[in-house]
Amino acid sequence: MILETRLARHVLKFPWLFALAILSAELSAIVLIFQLKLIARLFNTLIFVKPVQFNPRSILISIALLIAMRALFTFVENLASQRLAIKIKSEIRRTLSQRLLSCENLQGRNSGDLQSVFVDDVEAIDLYFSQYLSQVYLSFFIPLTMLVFVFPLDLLSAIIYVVTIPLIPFFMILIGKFAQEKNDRQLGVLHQMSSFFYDSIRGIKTLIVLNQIEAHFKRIRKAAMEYQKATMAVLRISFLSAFTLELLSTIATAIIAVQIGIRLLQGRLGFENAFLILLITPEIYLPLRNLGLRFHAAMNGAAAARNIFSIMDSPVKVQNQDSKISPDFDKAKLIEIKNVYFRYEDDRPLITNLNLKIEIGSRIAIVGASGSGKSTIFQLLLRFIEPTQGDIVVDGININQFSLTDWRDRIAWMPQNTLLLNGSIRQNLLIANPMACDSDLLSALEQVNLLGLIDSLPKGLDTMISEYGHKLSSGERQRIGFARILLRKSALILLDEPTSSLDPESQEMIMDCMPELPETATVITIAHRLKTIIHANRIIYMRNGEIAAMGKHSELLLQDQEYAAFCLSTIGEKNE
Amino acid sequence: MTLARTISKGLIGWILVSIVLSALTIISAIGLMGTSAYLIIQAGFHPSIAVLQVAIVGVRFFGISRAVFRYLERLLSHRLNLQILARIREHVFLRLSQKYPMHLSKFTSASLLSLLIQDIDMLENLFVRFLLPLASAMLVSVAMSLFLGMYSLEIVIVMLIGFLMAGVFLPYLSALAARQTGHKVVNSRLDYQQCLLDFLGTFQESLMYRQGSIILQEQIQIEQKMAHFQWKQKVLQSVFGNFGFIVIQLTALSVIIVGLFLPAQSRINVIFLAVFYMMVLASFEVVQNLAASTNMYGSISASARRIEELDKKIPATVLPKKTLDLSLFPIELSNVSYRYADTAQAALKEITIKIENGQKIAIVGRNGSGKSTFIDLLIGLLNNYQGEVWFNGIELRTITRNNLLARIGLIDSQPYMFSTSVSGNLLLANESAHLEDVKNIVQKLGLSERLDEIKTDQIEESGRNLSAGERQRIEIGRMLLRDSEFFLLDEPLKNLDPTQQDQIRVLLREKINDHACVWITHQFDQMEYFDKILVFDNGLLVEEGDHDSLMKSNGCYFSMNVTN
Repeated sequence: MILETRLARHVLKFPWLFALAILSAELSAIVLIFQLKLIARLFNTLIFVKPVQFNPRSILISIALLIAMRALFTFVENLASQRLAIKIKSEIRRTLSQRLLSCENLQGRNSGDLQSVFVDDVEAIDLYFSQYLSQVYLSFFIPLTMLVFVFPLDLLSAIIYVVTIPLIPFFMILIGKFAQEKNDRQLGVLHQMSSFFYDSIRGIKTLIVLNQIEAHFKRIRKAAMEYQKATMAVLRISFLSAFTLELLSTIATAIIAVQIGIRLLQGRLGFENAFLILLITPEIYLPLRNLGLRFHAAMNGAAAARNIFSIMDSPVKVQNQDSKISPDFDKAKLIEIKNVYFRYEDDRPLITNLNLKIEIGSRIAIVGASGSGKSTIFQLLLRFIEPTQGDIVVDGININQFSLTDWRDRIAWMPQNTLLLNGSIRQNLLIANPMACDSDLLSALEQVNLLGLIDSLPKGLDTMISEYGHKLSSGERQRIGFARILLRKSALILLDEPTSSLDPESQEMIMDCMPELPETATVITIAHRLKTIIHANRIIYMRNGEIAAMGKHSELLLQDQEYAAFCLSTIGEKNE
Repeated sequence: MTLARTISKGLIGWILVSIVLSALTIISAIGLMGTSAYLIIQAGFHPSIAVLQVAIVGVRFFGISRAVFRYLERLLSHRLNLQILARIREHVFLRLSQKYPMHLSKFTSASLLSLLIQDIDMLENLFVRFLLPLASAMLVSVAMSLFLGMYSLEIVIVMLIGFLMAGVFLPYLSALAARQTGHKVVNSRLDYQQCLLDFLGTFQESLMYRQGSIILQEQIQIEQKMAHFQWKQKVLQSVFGNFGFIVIQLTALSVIIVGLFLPAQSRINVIFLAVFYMMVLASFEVVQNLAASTNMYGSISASARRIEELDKKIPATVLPKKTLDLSLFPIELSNVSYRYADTAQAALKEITIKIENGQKIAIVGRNGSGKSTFIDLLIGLLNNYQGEVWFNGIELRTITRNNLLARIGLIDSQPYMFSTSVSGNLLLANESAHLEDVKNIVQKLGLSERLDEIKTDQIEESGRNLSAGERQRIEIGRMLLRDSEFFLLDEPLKNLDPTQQDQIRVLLREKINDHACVWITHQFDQMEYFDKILVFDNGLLVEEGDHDSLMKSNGCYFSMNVTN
């Protein structure tokens, strides 16, 4: 609970930085003891010894020097722990990316959520490493060091420290646990209430049109009252823990002061040592108090870490590397999807009982609302995911029997977002087909209407994407993506047609290239445009992970009211 | 700050109490160290125990009082914070409801509303983390100055310089320096976020082309750039943090130095010097809080300014005055045009139509042709239109909004679902609805089993999220629960499956009965129900007439409607 072992283990990758942070803090504490010793000596000399010839200058200068040394050590400690946190964050981010690459899909999460794990959740563990973890060790070592100094000076004070110091973490944990339980019970209420106001602002139009403003104003007031009650109930407890800690350290100071004062009075203790102990007292409790202050922020980080670990733990794709079987689309006749179900672990099913026969050489358009399972079919065909149930077979051979690289090498896929490597235009095209020669590249560029643009660049194909002058527009990106499809010369082509977010001109241009695809190729398109739909041999209309209707456009329009409405509202028209 | 006045009304007394408590907390710590030092020094002279009694009592008192004061102060200030937050929220909600939709554009309103929520969250810190430390720092400085001033003005000056340096000057400099790197940190973070989105969107394609390690490298490079700027920022923060430390230590040391080297006539007893040293050191606690407030000043004042703008800059929509007691009909629009604030194209262009009582009107047209804008206009949300809209002879702009809305049954194109139960969402439409009616409607809509479920957008919470179809049916339920005399339905059958559509169409028609309605649709079956069909295109009313005559005229409507 205090350490969060799995998170803490990341420190082991940078042991020197962590050691440096702890060592500098420890040194700073030792210098502090000497500083306090000099101050005690200064006052002892001034008040009690009163030598005739005393120049305080040298002792004052020594104190100033010790202060400078402490500043230096603290500075090094700060830098080391900040550096540590930054390095660990980078390390974690790298591991996360690698993990996604090796499990080959987003685990059913959307990219916005994943992005916030990469950015926000990883950022949230910063405090844990930069301020908390080293403090856990320091709150043991620093009091211990000071105790070693105090023991020979005054046994009784040392005993008081030994008894009171462990009480601080003890109470911290005890009360923290109690507060946590109470907190958890209230958390549901709290969350509900803060989202209540969020709703009130976001839903203001609905409130206005339902004539609810005045009634809702009262509701806001009531919710705020309840919120206040619930929050204060939690705060009363959690402030109690702060109260106990505060009381413990101040009362300990008071006890020490009174008991050394009395023994000083009785002549059993010298002034210099007595004053030194008084000076040390607040410092000896400080590391533990700091730990208490940082505990909550650190635990927030630990909670965020659980999101991170859940991605790190997601299953790695088992690659069928050993298989030597390659698919042969030239001879194949039929790709068959048989009773396929798919769901991510514990998630709702994305595909239910999908049955589809794809004849080689046919043109198929898949349509349906977003989330209806269209792109999941592509994910399955590309083997980024495996069916939870059912099989996909090519002429009787289950596709998971083929070598994964061979399988993918024979497919051309154009996704919604086009990959752009930070290299030359040539490189960006060659990845689709390393065997292509320059004339292939140029003719592909001509087909997608980018040749004019490339010709106008002084370095032509060797122009780096980064020196292109301005960012490529999404339309230009898509066209590069389409050029790759043309270069790939595959027998199975999967096209995720650009949605209307793309400028109409580029959309038009890309789809005009459709006839450029080889006649013999099997083309499956996730379609958003009427032209594509009309020209398809068959349309698969998906709804909620199932095939809702199948057939030609004109047939479907007549047979299926819903399909007609879908076409009108999504595509904007039924025909041209 | 007018905002400050609005929200602190009636709370001033408690605010002052919590400031005093906060100052007393720190004064207790100062007192504890001061009396302890005094006790030990006096004890060193071996007097009778009676001499020490007062100091001993002082030490014990301060030892306990600090924790007590802190506890009380925290309870009080957090309660105040909640009250102030509640007031800000109420204030913003009222202002917003009066001015909605302001001059928000059609597309940015959601993000502006989110920004507003962020600002309010920021202001949550206003009191506990900004005003309170500031005020208590001043109070403690005054108290310390008065106390030390009885002995030596020079020491007071040294202390105040230290306070100003560590509490105001250094934090200000650090904020100034941090702004430069801060921008770079923010920008590099945005770059990284963009790069991540790219990565997440294209990594599968990179796997196809066996380029996974390359895009991983690209991403790592950009992450490293962000890490580099973060590191620079941390170094800067550490430097200023250390300056602060040095200032505190040197100020305390300077108290001794100044005390020792004062001219003979104003020299103070070295005993007091030791006590003052301890007190000044302890008093720097106040400065640490102050530094945090100084850092926060920029963002807090920016948020406060944006919220105050709700009061000032946005001109109130002309406040309507008349209530409409008679019939709403006929409704006449003459030459009505409307343009959203940030668009060049008008969403509605020169619309002229007349709606009679009991008339059933359908609107068809492509997405973005102005249909939904037309409905928003009719319910009085878009008052800065051109042209005139007459409800039974009264201009729309002069009708009280509540009065009009109470008589309209609306199905919105983007109904909002609140984070409460399904029944809670339904009852919003009519709080005094009979339980029987609600049950009846819920059953007809097929929502019975979900009635008590809580709508949520959180993945990890227990409730299931509402599907688009369920949202639509709840919005329909809301409309059915209200008594209305004019119905505006924006694609009411959207997101429903065919059997539901048939059932719900019947329900809607029963509800409309012999009242008038405006019904936006994409489906072309049973169009004979409508007396008049309006065809919108690009903000223009391009065709108008009943189903048969429009079919005969062979225009837009006919071509959209090939299947019938």
